[in-house]
Formats: sequence, structure tokens, C-alpha cells
Amino acid sequence: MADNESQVVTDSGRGSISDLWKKEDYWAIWLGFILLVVGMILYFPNAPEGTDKKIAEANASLEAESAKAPFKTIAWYKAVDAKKKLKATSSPVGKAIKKFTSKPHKWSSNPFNALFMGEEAAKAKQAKAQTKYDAAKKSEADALTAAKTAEDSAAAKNFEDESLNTAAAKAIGDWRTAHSKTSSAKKKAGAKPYNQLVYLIGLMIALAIFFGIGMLAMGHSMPKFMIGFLFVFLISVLAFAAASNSTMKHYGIGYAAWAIIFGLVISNTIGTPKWVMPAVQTEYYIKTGLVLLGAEILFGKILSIGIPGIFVAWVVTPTVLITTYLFGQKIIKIPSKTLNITISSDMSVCGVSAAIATAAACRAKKEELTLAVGLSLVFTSVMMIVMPAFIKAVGMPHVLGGAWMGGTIDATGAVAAAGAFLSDKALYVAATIKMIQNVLIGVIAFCVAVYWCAKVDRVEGQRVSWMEIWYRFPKFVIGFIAASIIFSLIYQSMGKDVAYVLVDHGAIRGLSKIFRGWFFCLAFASIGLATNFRELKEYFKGGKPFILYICGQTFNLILTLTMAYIMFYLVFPEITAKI
Amino acid sequence: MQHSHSADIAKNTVTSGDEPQNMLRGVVRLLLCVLVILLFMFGVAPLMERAPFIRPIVQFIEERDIDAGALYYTDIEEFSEAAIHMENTMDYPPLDRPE
Repeated sequence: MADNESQVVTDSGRGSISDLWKKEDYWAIWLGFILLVVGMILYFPNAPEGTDKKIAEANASLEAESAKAPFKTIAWYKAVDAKKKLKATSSPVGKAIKKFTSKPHKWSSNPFNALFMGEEAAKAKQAKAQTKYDAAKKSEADALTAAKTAEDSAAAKNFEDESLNTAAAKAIGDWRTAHSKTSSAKKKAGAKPYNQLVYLIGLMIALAIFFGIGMLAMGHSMPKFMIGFLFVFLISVLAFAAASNSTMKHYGIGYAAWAIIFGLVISNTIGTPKWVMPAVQTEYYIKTGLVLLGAEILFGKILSIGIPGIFVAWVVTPTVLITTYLFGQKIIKIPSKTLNITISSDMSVCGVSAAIATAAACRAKKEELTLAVGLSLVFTSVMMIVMPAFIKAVGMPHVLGGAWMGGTIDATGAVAAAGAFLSDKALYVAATIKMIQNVLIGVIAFCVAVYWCAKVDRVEGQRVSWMEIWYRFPKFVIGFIAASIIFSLIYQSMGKDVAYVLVDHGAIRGLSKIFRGWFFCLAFASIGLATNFRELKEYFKGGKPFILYICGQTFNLILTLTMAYIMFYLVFPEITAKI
Repeated sequence: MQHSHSADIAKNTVTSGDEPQNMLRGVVRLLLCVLVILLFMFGVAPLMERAPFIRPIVQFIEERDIDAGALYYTDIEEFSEAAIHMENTMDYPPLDRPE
């Protein structure tokens, strides 16, 4: 069956008002928005006490310090640290939600620790980590003393002595590195006992009802769905547990890969039990997750690092995406357009999250999404290890190296690991570039959806009217974009500092992103449970997906490095100097 | 995404009429797959981490407790820190000394 024939829609597409409660796309929007509204209700009135006053004091300090010295002073960093501590998620309701919805915990050798840790084990873990924490605190204190001395020396010369300024900036940089180590050590020393099993059972029941209501409205059996949901949820828990293994975290093998693997193992060995199938609802979970993801696409973020960031993330990325897609169509001749665009998006934008959004927008097959995720995973692990080593070896400036890694390494987490491994400066640039790319997903999903409805899903020569495009358009994308626009407007209206407290570390990190993670995991588990491995193997034939990925990523590496150099060093060196 | 055809799903589902030998074969395959996964997780992957070019970044990730598998910028605390640092750097940059 030719791929194009399966995607062609005839002219007779029509909608009706009952679609609003009968169609999956609309249910994804209602369910997604229910959670977003609940998040806003729970967190917006829950700013920590004195938030406005503390922000004002921090900003006054930042204003004063930035006018004082040609480097970021100790007081400058402490003011930013003060702002960082203000989070709506630290409220009692935030802590309760975190406890109730928590995924399996990190573990090393004992898998039971994913769900359970007793008092004794927690105390032992604490004691072990306490020594390192005490050592880290001492190192930080020593580094701070050295930084103060260096800064005072520079201040004594009115910050006019270049060598003293450079020495002070370096000493402060060393203090910040020690500070990061202390923060990580503090988290480990704060180990507490837990029993996640009880909460997971509660969460499972809650999600079964949450999705079951939509299934009932769409004409399916709610009891059958809920029974099958137990199994899909169990696979998801196992996937999160596998991803929480410390070794797997090192390689960046996350829950998406594990959910697919476990699902594939079940479906291709003993077979997915028939009673599970009513809950194998890949599209339903993914679309609902994507509506939640929409709220995390905040357009104001694209200015975080100024115009260089926009060029590296929003000019290079679409260029690579479109070029790779055309290369795949015209040169490599990938048989499936949906596979082509999913891989191109995954490689050029930001890995799995981009693959999910693009695959859903163009109605790709689940095997195609699986393949894109697999390719991304393999190459991400390699790039995460190789790129920082290469950057160090050639002596590349860390701003340039960070921008290069942020724009090319697929997985967001791997970018953080690679960037931080190089330096804090590289981390800040890499993470910001990747975050700006993450925001691009919204535009890409919308453009892919429109392009597919207007150009791809039609008979050659057929002219498609705007109404027809509307009928064919995947409606959940409207919810996805609407969530993005609404939250972006809320973010802008609150101002960056308050929005950080109530939106970033409130409605988003405190609720919507938690459930988004669970929904994507349920979706990937469903993909695995419904995929025949023999069908998946078909897509590897000829190695065309590999060739597409490698050629596209090579082009991405060259273009990103070139653009980053031009923007950060030739056109806007003054922005680079500030970083 | 496209919905799977029911014939494709039927291939992968277990019906009450399946032969016991098929089920036994399936269980054996399942156990083998689980064994392979465990071997990778507890054998191959930890061994590979000891390679000299991998060990430094692995130790770093462990020390800083970074989730290298995170999917989106909101999943990882380092991104929040990077964003707030960058935004404040752009809004309150250090003093620009004239040359």
C-alpha cells in the first residue's frame, strides 16, 4: 500500500457540533485544559510570602551591582540566588502534588528503591552523603572567601585594573562551581524514607477515571478501558523505574525508550492480552499530553539570550529541518513522507518531544515515531560524550561550544549534561539555546499540520479549500497552540520575575509537566504494546533513515557552528562579553 | 498518528483459542528478553562506563545528579537555573568599561 494513498482524504470531510464531545482530539483539549486551569487555580494564589518585596530587593541589588563592576559580583549572584528560591511549588499544595504524582525514584543496585525506601536505608544514604556534603560546604566557603578577597582587591582599584578584574571574575566563577557541587550534595544528603506504591495506586485510579470519562463520552466501554488501563499504567511505571536507574540516567536512556521496549517485548512474545487493548490508546494519551506541553511553550523565552539565540535556534533549525526533509524526499527518496518529516524534526529541533509533536501533527505511524525516537537516542548518547571532549580538545570558547551543543544535541537532558560538563558558562548558553528550540515545537507542529492538510493529503492536482483544510486539520493542535498563546500572554502580563514563581515553578512544573510526562509514557507504552516488531523492521530496510539522520545532523553541526560563531563573535560580540 | 489496523492488532493479541505451545514459546521469549535487558542494565552498560573516554562525564553526571534523559526544558532543573541566569545577565549586565 503506497503511503500517499493511505493518507489521502477525500473531499467529503465534514464536522458537526457533536464532534466536541465525541471526537478524541476535542477530548484531548478538554482534559488538557482542565488540568491547566486546575494548575492555575492551585498555584497562582500561592506565591511564597513576601515574593514581591524579595523580588524588588533582589532587582535593586542587581541594578546596583551591574553599575559597579565589569564582571558579575558576589552580590549579583546572591541576588539571582534569592530570586531562584521563590517558587510556588514550595507551598504545601505543591509538595502534596509532588508526593502524590511522583514517578519512581532513582536507584542503583536495588530496584525496590524505585518505589520504597525504609527509615534505616534512608538514614544510611543520608550518612553516606553527609560526608561529601560537609566537604562540599567547606570547599564552597573557602572559594567564597577567596572570591571576596579577589573582589575587594579589584574594588580597591575602583575596578580599573584589568588583571585584578580578571582574577576576581575567575575566583567568583570558581565559587559558583563549588556552589553547584554543594547544591547537588545537599540534595543527596536530604534523603528521606518513602513508599511510592500507595501513591501510584491512587494515581492509577485517578488517571483511569480521568481518561475513562472521555472514553465513555466517545462511545467506548469505561469499565473495559479502566481494566486495561491497569496494565498500560504498570508498563509505564516499569518504564519510569528503568529510566530511574542511575546507569541509565548516565546514558540518557529515558522513559520513552523504556516504555516502547517493554511494550514491544510484551506484544512480540506472549502477545498483548485482549483485555488490555481498550486502554491501548496512543493518540488519546499523546494528544492530551501535547495540549499540556503547549502551556510550556512560552514565546517570551525566545529572547532569553538576545538576537544571537533567535538566529541559532529559530533560523538555523527550520533551515536544517526543511533542507533535510527535501534531501530525504529528492535524494535519499525515503518512501514515507511522515517518517521523513518526523526524523528531520527530531534531529533538527529537540529530539523526542519534537518527534512526538510532529508525528501527531502529520498523523505518522507509530512505527515511524518509534524509529525516530530510537535514532535520536543512539546519536544523542554519542554526541553527549564526544562533543564536550572535542570542544575541550580544540580549545573552543565555551560560549561558542555551548551554543553549538545546545543547537545540535537532540535530547534536552543530554544538552544539560554536556554543557555542565564543559563549564557553567557553556551550560547556561547550551541550555538557553535548547530551550528556545523547545519553544519552536509549537510553530513546527502547526506548520506541519497545515502543510499536510493542504499539500500532502490530497490527490495530485486537487485544489483544497480553506474549509477542507479546517475539516482535515488535527484539532488537538488548536488546543496545543491555544495553551501556548494563553500561557505566553499570562507570562508576559505577570512580568518575568513573578511568572518564574507562579507559572514556571507553579502551574507548569508543579502540575502540567508532571502529568504531561505520565501521559507521554502511557502513549509510548501503548505504541510498544500495539507494534509488531516485523513491521518495525521494514522501516530499517536500506538504512535510509540512518543515512537521512547522519546527513541531516552533519549539516546541522556545520550550520549551527557557523551561525553561532557569526552571531556571538562577529555580529553581537557585546552580548557574548556579558555572558 | 494513524490508528493501527485491527488485523495488525489481532496478530499481537492473545485469544482464548491459542495453543499452549505458543504460550510456552512466548513465555520463553519473554524471559529471554528480560534476561537481555537485565544483562544490558547491570552488565554491559556499567562496563562501558568504565571506558576512559566515558568515565569523566559519567562521574560528573552522577555528582551533579543531572537527568540526561529529560525530554523538555521544564523537566530539568539546570535549565531553570540557566534561564534565570541568562535573563538576569541580559537585564542587568556587568558594567561596560569604555576602552
